[in-house]
Amino acid sequence: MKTRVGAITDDEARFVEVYGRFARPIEAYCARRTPASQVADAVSDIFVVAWRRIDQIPAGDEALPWLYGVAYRVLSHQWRHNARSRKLIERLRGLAEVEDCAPEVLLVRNEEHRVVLAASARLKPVDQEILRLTLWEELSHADVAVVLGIEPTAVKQRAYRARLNLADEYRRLTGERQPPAARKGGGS
Amino acid sequence: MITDDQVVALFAKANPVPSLDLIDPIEPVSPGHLEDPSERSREMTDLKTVESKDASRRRRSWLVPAFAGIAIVVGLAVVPAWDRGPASPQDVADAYMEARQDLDTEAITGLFAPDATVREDDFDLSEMPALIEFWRATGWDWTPTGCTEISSGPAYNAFTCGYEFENDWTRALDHPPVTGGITLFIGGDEISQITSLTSNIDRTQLNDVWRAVIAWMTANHPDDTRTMYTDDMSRPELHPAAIALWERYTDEYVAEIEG
Repeated sequence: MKTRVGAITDDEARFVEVYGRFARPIEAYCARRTPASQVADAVSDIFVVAWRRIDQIPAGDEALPWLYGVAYRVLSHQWRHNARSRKLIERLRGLAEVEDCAPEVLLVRNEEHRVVLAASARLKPVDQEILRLTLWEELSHADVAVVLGIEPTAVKQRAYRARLNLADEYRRLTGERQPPAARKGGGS
Repeated sequence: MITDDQVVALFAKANPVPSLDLIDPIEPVSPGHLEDPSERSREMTDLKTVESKDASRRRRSWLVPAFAGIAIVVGLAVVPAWDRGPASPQDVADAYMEARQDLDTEAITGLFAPDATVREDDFDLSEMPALIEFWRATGWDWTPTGCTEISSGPAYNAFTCGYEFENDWTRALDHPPVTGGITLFIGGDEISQITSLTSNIDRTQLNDVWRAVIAWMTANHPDDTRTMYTDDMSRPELHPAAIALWERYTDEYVAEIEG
């Protein structure tokens, strides 16, 4: 619709409102998952997609999970691109490892946090994302379902398993045994 | 030995950006210049168009500041007095939030252009004076937390303005202040469009409070509920008789809650 109010089209007004309300949570989402040097480009890409699909953005607060869904896809593409680039660089330079400059590596000072993030990195990517969305973005299972494009019941089941697996991987990394009662308190 | 729940809590605390306060203020955009809207993708998963064009992405990375810069230069050259006069768009945005904090009807309505519109709300701009009376009757406090420019151009500037909100009901129920924001479009030195008069309150934060108040009103003053709010209970009525009841019964409600 191209109704003009003064010099503002409905689409522009809607975009500006969405950008104003949600740019910072989206930037935080990106900063939690990608190197600082790539955050601005990622945010720009996400809002370009939002502009292109402005008439599909849900009203009100429901726009945020929708935008997270776009962000998830944009960053997934970026990760695949980075992985390909890394392999190419390794081949060219003959390096065994390329420095990981992910924000968690740069920012996390606490050894326990480093280990728990390493443990999470051993989970399936979608399970990692479910943990991040529920525990860092504090989304409900229904909103996580919107982000990932899967059923809420599947999110609930995966979230439960992801929590158990995270704890298992953490204990594996730290050499701890699973306490007898640990499962009882896990992954509600 | 560490339990599953303790590991999960550890992961939650390992959040690299635990607060939005760690994120820089957003930069203004000019959405009209991003691209031709007719080229928009229709599919949720169609990112190829966006991501395969490296040259396009490079353009985009400087597109926003470039157009913001052009807009400012053009604005300085072409647009008349408003950006050189005493009331800059930023001043107008700040003035609106201050006037609303003061519940100053005259100041608020004086900031709007004659043809100004409200984009998304149950309330019309003509209801603003009555809405302010309702806010006064029920002890609403809007505390501004600052206006940030989010779009800059020759035709208008847009701002997002944050606030913390509480009223007699939230205070009686010991509910924490609700945070939210609104978007203002300012052309010249007037507000030409506003997203909402009640300010995009995150309604999920207030639903419990509203439900508690409505339940109390229905239980204690069933004969007056039709006067006080709409049949679907989604919004208050704003005529003088309704506002008088809201004021009286809010005082009763607070007194009873606070014992």
